[in-house]
Amino acid sequence: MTVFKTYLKILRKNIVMVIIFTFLLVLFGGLSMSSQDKSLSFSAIKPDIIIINNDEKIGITKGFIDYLKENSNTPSVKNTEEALNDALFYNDTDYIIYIPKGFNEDFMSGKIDHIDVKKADNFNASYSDMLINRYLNIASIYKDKVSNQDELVKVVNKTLKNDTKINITTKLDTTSLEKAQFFFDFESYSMLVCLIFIISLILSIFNEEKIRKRNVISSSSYKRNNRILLLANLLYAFVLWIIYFGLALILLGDIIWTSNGILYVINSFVHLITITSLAFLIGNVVTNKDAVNGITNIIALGTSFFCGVFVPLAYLPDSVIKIAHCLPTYYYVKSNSIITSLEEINFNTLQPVLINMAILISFAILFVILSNIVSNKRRKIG
Amino acid sequence: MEKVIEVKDLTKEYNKGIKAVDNLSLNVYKGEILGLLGPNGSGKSTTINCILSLLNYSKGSIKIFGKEMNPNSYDIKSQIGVVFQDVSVFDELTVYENLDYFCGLYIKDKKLRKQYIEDAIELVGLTEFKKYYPKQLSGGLLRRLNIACGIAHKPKLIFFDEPTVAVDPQSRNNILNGIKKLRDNGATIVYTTHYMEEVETLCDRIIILDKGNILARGTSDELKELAEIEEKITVEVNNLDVKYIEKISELKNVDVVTYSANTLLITYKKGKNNISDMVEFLKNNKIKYNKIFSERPTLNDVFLELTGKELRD
Repeated sequence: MTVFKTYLKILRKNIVMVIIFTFLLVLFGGLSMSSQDKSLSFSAIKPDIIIINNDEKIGITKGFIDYLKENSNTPSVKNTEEALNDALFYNDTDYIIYIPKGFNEDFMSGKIDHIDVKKADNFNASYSDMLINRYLNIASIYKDKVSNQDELVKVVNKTLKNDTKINITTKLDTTSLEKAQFFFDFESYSMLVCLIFIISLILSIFNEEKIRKRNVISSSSYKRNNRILLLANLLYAFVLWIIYFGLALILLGDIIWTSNGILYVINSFVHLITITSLAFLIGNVVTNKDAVNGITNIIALGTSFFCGVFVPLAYLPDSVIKIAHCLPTYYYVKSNSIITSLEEINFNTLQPVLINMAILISFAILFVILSNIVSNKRRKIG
Repeated sequence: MEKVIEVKDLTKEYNKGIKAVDNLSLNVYKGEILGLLGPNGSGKSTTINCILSLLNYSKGSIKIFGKEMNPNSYDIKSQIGVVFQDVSVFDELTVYENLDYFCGLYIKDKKLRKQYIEDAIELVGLTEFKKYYPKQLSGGLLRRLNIACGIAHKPKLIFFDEPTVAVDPQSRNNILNGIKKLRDNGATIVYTTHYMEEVETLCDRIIILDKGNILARGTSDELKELAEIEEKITVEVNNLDVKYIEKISELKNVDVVTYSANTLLITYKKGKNNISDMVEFLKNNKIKYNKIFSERPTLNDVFLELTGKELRD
């Protein structure tokens, strides 16, 4: 009990660090919950199209121009070649369409094979192409089946107004799961700091040559004291995880009780085992307790940046991701990302997550073996 | 006399064949203070670390309280206290918490431990500093805390490994008096130091070590007998003419005469009335002097004769 009580005393004197990083988790987790919209809606974008009409605004020409105006923004630019080119160059417009003289008659007689356009190299320009082709293709289909241009415009407009019904077949509440993913990703950072700092600090204090010598010469078994220290650290790690699980329940609510939510929690627990063993290794290697703070920051911040905790993996360069493969947190974050997109849960869909968990456990075993080697070497002074 | 420690042919060899302790044998008897005296690197701490099973040793045997000592001899360890050279306490715990931890490694009974801690605090004079953290204590107080942590469980055998290094004179006296009290209360003490004055005033027996070997052992007086010189006379005299130095060296019983920094040092191998002869010589030659005093040879002189170097070299 002497060792356990002393562990608690030292933990109590360094609890501020744990509180700060838990507060950060609550803060960022809470912000994430309130910042994202829960509703699922879509709206069409409107590209910027300048229409240079050289024809009379009647019949199909009028219908075409009205359609373009309805589906795009039409910036007002002086109708000179220089001004139009500048507008395109400075991204004031995405697209310029030149409607030729006699367009309505030529269209009806099928003489139009192309329309002059100038466009930017972006998505909006491609979308503008699509809008124009859509109108003209429909008009081409109906032009021989109607008696005049006004009737053609009416038919085309009617066809275009038929909305496509979209049925979302997925059962996933992607937005909520993304929030959960953010929480659990960020949780890894808080956990890295709280576990590595406290466990490494306390182990390095007990492993300091001066303290270790006193412990070794005492009548209390050195191995037994080490076991108590190990159990105290495991208990601390577990209690911290339970607290974070409680925070997840408060902040994420019912998401936790979904299949995906439970998978996040399991993944977080596996990650906890790996970080705890890493903290043991660091605590056994580092004997200078003053260095623990710096080492914690380097490992926690470095790991979190490399492994996509702060910046999503998709935005990280390949070279960074290659390095991240050597770090356990990468597999944790990757699993979180996979869990977010898991619609159906069965062995096949879970396989990548299970493989990542196996890798995390392998890391934990490696860290434990290395810790034991270092600890055994330290037991005797010479 | 009852042997508390029995070391036979202890050899500690490091890699590359360097011997830190070479075939060392010693006994420590119940109730005595044994001083291990030697310069830095003489093997004092290595010997203690081997005795405490903190170090593996290459050869020899160690018995404490009549039993073979090994890393798992917890029954023996329960009766041993160690005060290390470096202050070995938790910076994160207060004076009382530190004592509670280190005493708690031996004494499980809460009430008894509390009593022992109070006794230790009183013995080293830290009553007013119970709630202080080590960083708030002066060097001397820190040393006292270090001692209290080593002896709080009232061990029968205590090792002090240079406990007074870098300690002010007042704290040193306090520490030495505390050690005497422990001996008077029945503890057996092994005391290592390179301060010869400390072993002379404190220790019942002394072992002089150098390069892992025992050079001499005995009481302070017995060791001084080993010195070839019998007496040292020091005279403080300003601007002494060189011709007198030659004259003094021709006086009866004089062995060596040196004069530097206005101090004349004359060593004698034997003889009586050497100081009165010297006073008479100074008077006859009308040499004015500030001070004159006679000393017996010190342990440093013994060490100097045995090794050709000073203890603090």
